[in-house]
Amino acid sequence: MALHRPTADAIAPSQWRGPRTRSSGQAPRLLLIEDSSHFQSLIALLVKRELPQAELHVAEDGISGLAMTGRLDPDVLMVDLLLPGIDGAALITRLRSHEQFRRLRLVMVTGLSAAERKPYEFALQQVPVVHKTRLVEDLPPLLKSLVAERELVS
Amino acid sequence: MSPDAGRRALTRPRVLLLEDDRAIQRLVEMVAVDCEVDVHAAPSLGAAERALEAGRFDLLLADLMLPDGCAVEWLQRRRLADGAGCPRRIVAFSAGLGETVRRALGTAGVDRFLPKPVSVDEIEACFRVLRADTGKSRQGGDGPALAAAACARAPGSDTATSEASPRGATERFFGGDSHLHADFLETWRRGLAPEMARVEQHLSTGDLSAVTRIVHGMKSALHMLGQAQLADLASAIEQHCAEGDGAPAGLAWADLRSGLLAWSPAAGARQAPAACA
Repeated sequence: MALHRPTADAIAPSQWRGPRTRSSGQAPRLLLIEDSSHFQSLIALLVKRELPQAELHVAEDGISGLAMTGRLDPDVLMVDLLLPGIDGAALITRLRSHEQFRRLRLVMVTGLSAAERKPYEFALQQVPVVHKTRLVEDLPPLLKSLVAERELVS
Repeated sequence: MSPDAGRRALTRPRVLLLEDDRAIQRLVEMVAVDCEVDVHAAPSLGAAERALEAGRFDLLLADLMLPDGCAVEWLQRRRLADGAGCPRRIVAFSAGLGETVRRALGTAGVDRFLPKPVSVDEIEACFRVLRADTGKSRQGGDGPALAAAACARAPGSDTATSEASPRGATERFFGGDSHLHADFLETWRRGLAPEMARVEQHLSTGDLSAVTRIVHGMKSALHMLGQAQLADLASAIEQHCAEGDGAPAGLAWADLRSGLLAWSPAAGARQAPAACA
């Protein structure tokens, strides 16, 4: 697994690339937008162990995460809900307003309880949510299924 | 360090861990923290020799194959040389040892084996025995008898299966993978000092949203690491921040900070230079 740290080169949506043409043998590209170094590390450990062929990129705040999504066109985007800059819900809403990201595979990663997530429900329709204390059990199978789905589509 | 903490540190059993596998070192060190046992890791026979010359240890926990030789022969040589400086108790990691090797280890002073792959349960049991043994012998009692009684308890029969125990947290949050738990604990400890500094910076500027985000992440991590009481303190800070109460949030942070430093003293040492800068 290759782990890529962000460069702080935020780019405007107009500079976003269109969807990449993926070949089935290409390494899955994952982007994690998460400000906690602890959970960045845990997710990196899980990806390394369960999806060793994947590229994992990490953004530490909503703004650079949005820019990196445009630049990298990831196969799966994992987003924390509470982020500096713009929060995960606003980020998802922003991405979905752009045609090229409507089909982006998303995973919401959060330490908020179901009740605490209520204010963000508007953005979480049909987005799988993984609670941080369930990451080890729930994230790897979910990532594998989303990556497999990408393989089928391509 | 408070006088009480100093006394506790002085009376903790000391373990010399002869092991070159960094993952096992981390696992043993992780369990040692919760069992209040001090571990000194030696990745080679040479390093173990130097450690034994420099200090006293209550237990030698040894792998058998080291980069610079075989621990069985090394132990036998030390025993022939009247065992000077060797701990009274020696436990060897074993992985499918034959009877011949077991007998050789017995003659070299090894009195117990820990199976590989090593489990948290076994290490915990080993440290419990050591603590009981050491405490009793320092009070002038019959240490080995107590240790033998503790040894007779089957691994896993201990009642300390609460969320706060390493084993409970490993099972509940890490799918039973003690190596993953140990790796997460290590990265947590590495990142703790800068994170604490960030909380203090945001508290000083009154940025309670930023404090909430960081403390919220801490809370989840602390739950996973079996530190439920510290997680509750983090939760209290979140609550104060949500109510816009900077002063009580600061007070609650002082409590959490103390708790974190008591649990992970290295974070305080790492934080000191940043605070001075």
